[in-house]
Amino acid sequence: MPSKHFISWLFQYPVLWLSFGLLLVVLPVRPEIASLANLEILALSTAMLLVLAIGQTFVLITAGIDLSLPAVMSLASVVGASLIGGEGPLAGSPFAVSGTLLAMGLVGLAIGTLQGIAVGVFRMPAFLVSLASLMFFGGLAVWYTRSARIALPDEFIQIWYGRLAGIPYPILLVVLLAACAHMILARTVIGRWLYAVGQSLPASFVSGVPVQRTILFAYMASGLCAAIGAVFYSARLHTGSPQLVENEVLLDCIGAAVMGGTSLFGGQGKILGVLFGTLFLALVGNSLNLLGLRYWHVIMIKGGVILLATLLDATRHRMQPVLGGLT
Amino acid sequence: MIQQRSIGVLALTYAPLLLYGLVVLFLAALAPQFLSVANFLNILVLASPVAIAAIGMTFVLISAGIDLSVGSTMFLAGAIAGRLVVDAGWPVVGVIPVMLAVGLGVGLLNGWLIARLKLVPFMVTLATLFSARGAGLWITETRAINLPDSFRQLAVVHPLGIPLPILILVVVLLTAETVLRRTVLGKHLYALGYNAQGDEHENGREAAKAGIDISAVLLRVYAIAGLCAAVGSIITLAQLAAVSPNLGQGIELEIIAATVLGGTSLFGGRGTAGGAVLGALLVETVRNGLNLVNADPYFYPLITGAIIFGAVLLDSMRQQRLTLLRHRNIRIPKAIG
Amino acid sequence: MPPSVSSPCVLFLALLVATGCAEPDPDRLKIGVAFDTLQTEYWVAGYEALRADLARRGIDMIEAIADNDSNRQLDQIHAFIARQVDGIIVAPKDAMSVVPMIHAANRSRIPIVIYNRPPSANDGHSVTVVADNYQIAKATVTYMAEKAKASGKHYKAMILIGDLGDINAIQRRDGFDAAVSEYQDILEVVARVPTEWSQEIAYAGVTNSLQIHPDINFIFTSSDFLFSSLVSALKNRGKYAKIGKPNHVLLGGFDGDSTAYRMLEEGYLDADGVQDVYFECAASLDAVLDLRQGKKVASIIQDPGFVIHQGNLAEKKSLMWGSQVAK
Repeated sequence: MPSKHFISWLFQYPVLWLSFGLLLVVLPVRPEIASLANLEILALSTAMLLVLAIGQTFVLITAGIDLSLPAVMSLASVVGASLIGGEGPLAGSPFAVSGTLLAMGLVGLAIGTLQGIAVGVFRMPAFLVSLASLMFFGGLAVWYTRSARIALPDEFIQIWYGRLAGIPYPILLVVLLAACAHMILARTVIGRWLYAVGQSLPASFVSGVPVQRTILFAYMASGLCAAIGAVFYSARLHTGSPQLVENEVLLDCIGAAVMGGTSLFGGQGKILGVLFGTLFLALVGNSLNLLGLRYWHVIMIKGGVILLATLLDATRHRMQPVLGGLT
Repeated sequence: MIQQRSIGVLALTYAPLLLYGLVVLFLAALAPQFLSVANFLNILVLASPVAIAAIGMTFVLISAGIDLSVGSTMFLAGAIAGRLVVDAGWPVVGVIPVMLAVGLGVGLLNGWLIARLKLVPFMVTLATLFSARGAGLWITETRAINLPDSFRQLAVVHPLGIPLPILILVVVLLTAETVLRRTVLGKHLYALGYNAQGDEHENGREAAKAGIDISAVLLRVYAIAGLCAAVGSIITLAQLAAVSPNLGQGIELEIIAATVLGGTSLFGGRGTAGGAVLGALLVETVRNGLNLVNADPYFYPLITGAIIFGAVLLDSMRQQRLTLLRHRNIRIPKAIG
Repeated sequence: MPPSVSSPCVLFLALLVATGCAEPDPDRLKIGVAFDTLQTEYWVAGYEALRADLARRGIDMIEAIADNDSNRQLDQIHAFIARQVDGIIVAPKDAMSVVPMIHAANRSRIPIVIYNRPPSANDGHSVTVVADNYQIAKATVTYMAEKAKASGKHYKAMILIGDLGDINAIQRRDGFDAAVSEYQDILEVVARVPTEWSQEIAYAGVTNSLQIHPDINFIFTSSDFLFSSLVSALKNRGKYAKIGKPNHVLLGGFDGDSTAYRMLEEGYLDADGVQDVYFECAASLDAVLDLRQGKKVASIIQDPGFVIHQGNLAEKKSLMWGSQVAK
């Protein structure tokens, strides 16, 4: 029997019941949506977006924003592919995959560090810092391969297509990552610092939070998540590409975080909420694909669904006093 | 506030202008043809659509909001205008009010959702970004529309010897500065934005206490942003003499960047319309310079990105020095915005 | 829930159900058509031609546009498979990222035809219908250069380059470079304008370049859809004149759209590289239906394309798809 506590918890994430609502609406029209194959596709798209959204959430909690994500992913993708693909120096070596993963992670961490220093130490506005990175590193990725794509070998592709006990690797890895991120935010001192910095930077400075290191950590986490995302996206497409994702993915992952209760003004945000926000957006994309509507209707409906989710979120806020009595 | 301004403080206060001068000098050294009145007018004309939209964005950012829908608004207004001119045979003067009405309409819709229903600006304008683009694609069926030559004349005529786009930019800029500095709306806007820092759900609780009608201010702010986007769209259409399905796509980032480069904070309460114009000019000037020296196309994003980074770095160092100079003993960092 | 919030929600969900319910006859064949973009008239013309051709043959079309995002396109292909389509026609973003789509279709034994962009070497089964961007661009520019040579003058050239991440844009640029390199004595490339496939950026680039080189008199655009920007900028400089006038600029384009057709008819445009949209569409559709019936189909169907110019306009214009669209 659901307790009052559980109901109130449900109301915290309206985006979750909106997802169920959407599923119920689409199900009679396209029963394929509940097929096992499709549910796996849905889980995989959620996992892909979740990796990026987790990194973004760390930054959003500190009242920052990381627009550089598509560029970090593209650069990591081509750097990795240039090592392991074709005639690359790591191709065929026993450390091919591990070396490539290391290099890709380093790309993400390096750009994250750079941005963290710019925002944390030099107090530059996060929006512009990451926008400049988006341009610069995005351009660097295209320049690095001179627009070419690089095919990835089978052993790298296995990271996406491989399975353990029937469950695809990426789902296992993302569950692990989400659990780590949740622990960091909810249980560690660095998590408390992140929220403190986001809530009030001067106050946290006065009360002894190492502001600079905390901000640096957030951007490094975001860079690393972008690099992990790059591994997944590249392996899935068999391709190291200097335009691995479109900039629209930014709006998707920030949107997912915000729908899951993360504030753009910092200090708020939970991994569970972000998971629900991501699930919702993945479901919207999946449903629209299955419905096969005309191009412009797809875009309009996407806008409508986002508005709907926002409306429900506002309703929740207004009903909070009523629900407060439940718990 | 400080009473006595030293030369150092003064120089730092006008650092954005100095920085812009530095970029100009650098480009002039690379390409001698860069420094000419004709080229500077050319840059102003090319920058005017983004600059005007950035002026509208300044209002939104001061209110601690954001408007992601401006690019789609530009496209929707252009799509409707294109169909009216080409298919219904409307005269150019007839479609201009329609375009302005479309911009105003999208702005009012954003404003209504944000002000009355108290929704998060980022999500609302993200939704209108998709919906308006979808509607525009529906109207044009994703086809490009070529506009008649009469539309192009708008970008070519020189009343008073100045190209019309520059004249429009100046009028919009002066109006915006007047509204921001001299009217009640402007005062309320800064007060609202300043107090909104920190928590969007308590948006301007302090401001409300001070007797400001928050939703009236917010409604006007988004209406202004939509209107400015429509004006930018008119100039863009006049320049291109065409409406393509990707008109204004992704331009919202460029517009917000121009605004923030000009000293407006994303966290509200701070910003000027003049700064937004300067920011838009900086980006356009760099592109102009790269075109003039026939740079390798692969270097465009690298150089543009590096210059924006450099500009922001210098600006933040200036801000820190200014804070230091103004209050010598308090060294609490400001919010990162 | 306050009425102001609930009414749009209900309306919206009703709309979604209504649009989704238009379920077609289950006995008819279903073909999934996935395009990377509808950004230019070329893609729209191909898309509409496929739609019309499928309707004529009594086959249902399920459509999906990926907006330049390969990952989304892969999702869309998975959605086609989930809906058990009878065949797939896909216009991918690049040669590599289409490989996993081919694998997915092969696994489900659904015939797949690649439209306009050939896949890289892979072990999957697919048919490709493609025009040679490099050769057509080279032939177009060579024709222009021959005209320049015949005039005996010295020429200053400009090229409008497409998005550097787009393979077709790169091939057309390379075709331009290859042609120009053989005429170095009379041709000097003074402006290489990156456009990112945006009319606004193209307009600014052309305007800026004409500012510093008012004597540019040889221009090639990598896509016809940039002609409106190009012509607008030329008119502002008083440089848009018919062939034979002293201030005529040698103009060349690529695609064969209706704007280019009109400019040829009116005597402004010298040459245009044409991809035969209608041939490509009919060949794709034939191929996918033949594959379905188990017939053998060549793995590459080449659209030879051609250069249309003032000399062969009367003879070739019926083959130029822009002349059909222009009616």
